[in-house]
Amino acid sequence: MRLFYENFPFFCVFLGLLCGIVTTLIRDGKKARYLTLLMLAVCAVLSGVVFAETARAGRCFSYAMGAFPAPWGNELRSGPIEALLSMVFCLVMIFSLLGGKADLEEDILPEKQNLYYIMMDLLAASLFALCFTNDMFTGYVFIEINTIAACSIVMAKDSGQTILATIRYLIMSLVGSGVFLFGVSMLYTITGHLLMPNLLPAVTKLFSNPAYDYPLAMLAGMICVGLAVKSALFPFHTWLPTAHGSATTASSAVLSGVVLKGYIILLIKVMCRVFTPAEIGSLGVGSVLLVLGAGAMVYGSVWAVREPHAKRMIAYSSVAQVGYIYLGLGLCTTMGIAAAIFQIIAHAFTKPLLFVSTGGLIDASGHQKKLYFLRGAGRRCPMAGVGFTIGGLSMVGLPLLAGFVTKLVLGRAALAEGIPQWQMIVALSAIAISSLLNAWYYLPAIVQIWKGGEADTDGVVYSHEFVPSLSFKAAVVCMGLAVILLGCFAHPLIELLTKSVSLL
Amino acid sequence: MDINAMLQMLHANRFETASVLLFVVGLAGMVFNRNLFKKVVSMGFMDSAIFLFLTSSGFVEGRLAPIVTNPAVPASAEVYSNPLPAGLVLTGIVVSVSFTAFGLALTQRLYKRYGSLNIDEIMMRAQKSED
Amino acid sequence: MKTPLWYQKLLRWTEGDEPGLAEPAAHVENPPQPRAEETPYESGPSLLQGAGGPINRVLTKVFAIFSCAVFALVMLATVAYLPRFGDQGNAPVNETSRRYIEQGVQEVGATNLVTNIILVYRGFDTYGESCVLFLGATAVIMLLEVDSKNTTRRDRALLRRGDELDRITRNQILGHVTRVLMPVILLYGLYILCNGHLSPGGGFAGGSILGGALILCENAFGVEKVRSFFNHHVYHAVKVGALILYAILICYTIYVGANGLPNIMPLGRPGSILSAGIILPINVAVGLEVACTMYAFYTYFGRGDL
Repeated sequence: MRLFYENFPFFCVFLGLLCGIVTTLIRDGKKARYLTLLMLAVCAVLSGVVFAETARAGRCFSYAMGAFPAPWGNELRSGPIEALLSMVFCLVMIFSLLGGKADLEEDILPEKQNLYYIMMDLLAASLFALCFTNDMFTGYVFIEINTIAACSIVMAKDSGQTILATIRYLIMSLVGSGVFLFGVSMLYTITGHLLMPNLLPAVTKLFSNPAYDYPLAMLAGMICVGLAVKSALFPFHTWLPTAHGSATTASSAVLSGVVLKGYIILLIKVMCRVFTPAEIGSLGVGSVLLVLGAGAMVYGSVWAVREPHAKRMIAYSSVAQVGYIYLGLGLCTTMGIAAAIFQIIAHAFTKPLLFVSTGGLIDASGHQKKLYFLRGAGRRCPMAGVGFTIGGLSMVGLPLLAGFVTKLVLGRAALAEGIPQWQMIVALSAIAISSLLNAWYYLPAIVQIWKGGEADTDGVVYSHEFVPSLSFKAAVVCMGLAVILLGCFAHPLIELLTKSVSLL
Repeated sequence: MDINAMLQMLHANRFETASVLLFVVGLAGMVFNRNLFKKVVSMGFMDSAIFLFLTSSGFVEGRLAPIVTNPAVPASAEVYSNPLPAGLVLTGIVVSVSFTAFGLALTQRLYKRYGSLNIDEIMMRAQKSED
Repeated sequence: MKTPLWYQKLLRWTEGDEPGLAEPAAHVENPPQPRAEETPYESGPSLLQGAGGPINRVLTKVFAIFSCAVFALVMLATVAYLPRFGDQGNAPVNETSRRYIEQGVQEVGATNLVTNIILVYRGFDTYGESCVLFLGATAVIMLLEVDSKNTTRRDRALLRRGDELDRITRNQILGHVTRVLMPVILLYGLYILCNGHLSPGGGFAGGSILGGALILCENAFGVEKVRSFFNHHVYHAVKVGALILYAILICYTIYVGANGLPNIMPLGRPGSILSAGIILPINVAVGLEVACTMYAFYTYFGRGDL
């Protein structure tokens, strides 16, 4: 008899899907929001239970979706890491929706708000499915659900800018999923399987046959590139700044905090469960990911430095932060992957914190989006100012904050034994340069928002009235606390992650 | 593998060869074409190429379509070709239809607003109206 | 000491195209205007003329052709290494497909083996797929449903005039032919819908035929006629009802199967119309959803309303 908590991943996915479908009938945006928040809270609890149970027992389990096990039917699978990530995603989505509430009600027409929450529900469901899936083709289907939902929450604001950003995002995403699907088809053609537990032995067997070296390298490359396009790895990041910078606050927070990570989790699963990290390294794909990740860290930061638009600056910083994740993955070691997963969690809290507090600062400066006009906004809305300061300092890498731990763990992973020297040099120098550049643009921004007085607006008067709502305060406090806690008490978490990578 | 053997394999795998070429055409259209409508059409092109590839992986020489004609007799795996790729393609087609509709809806809104289908032109006009 | 020119240039560049933090902005953005009506550009002169220059454009083209050619060659080389087309010893011909073929009819009950796979063996994927369709329709509604942001008063007037014209100049031949053809099309659609487990077809194919019938109906008899039996309420009720029915069936199958409980859905005699457990009701549900979605795509693109 199966343990009851093993049903929870399946419940999470279907709760999300069903809530989305039922929300069609709820025309009232407010009720739709309550339903979505309730669903996310329930799913957070369910994933939390799975996490606690699997972490305590140090086990993972697979769950056949139907009466037919691995090579025949769909399967879900969960260990501590999957459950932890899905819990984090739920929490981040809750906080983002709470924090971006004011902007959301202003940006989206009341009669279309329920549609926005449908998209949020299905986005959550697809993220759960991407966390828990054990099947490549299920991965593809839910990637597509994720893409439609993510594009829709960008365009929900319905201005010319956002629609333009959406179509660029859509086209790039479709290129990514096309390449990914072609990779999966090739994998099916040469192995005859779609489920990860059967793919692993089949692929290992093919590695011993030199005739398949070329197709294997090609399809591993295609799967990685497809997912990298969707998660905005440099040089495929061109769509990200406009999409994240122009959407409404809640969407930007969810997109950068959560959506980008869903694809990366699937990539980690492919690396660990279809191939092994060592095989990915020997195909050369690992080195490519590492170099691109390092490139992203530098390139994203450089463009963030010269960006005057506050939200777009933070979006460029996302490009750099995704680079950190890929840097960890590119090392192809257990420590590197654990560091990447820690960065996923850390960034999932930090970036939405920055977006939500920037939304508050912008509201407190008469809806002016340029950094120049945010002068003194921190004094007008201290809550948002403190949130922005914590997030910014964490990105710079101040000790006791989450961003510092990321850099530390990544550095340690790069210095570990068995890493080629050039990889070590690339990784360490990228971390150093990127930290410097982060300081270069975050510190002036923090100074700017705490400066006294108001920006010179050539006589035009803007309304600076902004009373932060309770939900905004709660969201900023929770995410700020999460960033600090992750920074102060990271040690046990990292130990757990390193131990659980083998359970992936 | 020398070039002759390669060409022979390409000929033997002619459906895969065709699908790869079509895939590249579709991908090029999506990335390099500046016309939004053509970009969306190229997306359909690319997806169809992938479906051709998948379908051809299910074909087995001399076997029938996987529909059991006489359910009273137990079916033999030697008689029917592999049904799985057909199922995957069916799923893929529906996904592709939804994306085409979504892409065209976005294109329609942009055309209504900016009076152009060329993405560069639309970007310039959007920039202008933002300033 | 004089600052080098490159350093000044770098500093200026890092501050973006427009002055950022260092000096006050040269101009001020217009105050935001909430919910401004969309102002469509009236076929103005192309802004692209003269942009880029011919050399730039040629370079882009050369780069595009070159990169595509390289990619095509690399992909072709991969195809050359793939196993031979149609060979019996290929990897996909393995124990997975063997079980689908040899035991599919006994285990699941449909004689169309592809239906067995998409609705039962890999039913979760297919539920995800129908959710993609649902999401696609929702996204189209989000974009194109008439609201104060995407439609001006002039657009509405144009739409009304179009309806008026449509009513006056309705094509008599189309109406008569449709009246004859409609029962045949409906019968054909229903047949394909309900025979999904016995022959090629099923919910997706049958549903698109039914959706096509609705579209034909609107063209022949006008939107008022269709609205009399298929308005917003019916649309949402049918779509949500079908998806929830589908979800209940698939959840039941998954839960029962995964926990090793007995499945009480009767499989019936393979080959008869009432057989194969959940497949027939799922096909009907999918068919209804697809028909609704197809019609919604058509009508939202045209008039922005059902």
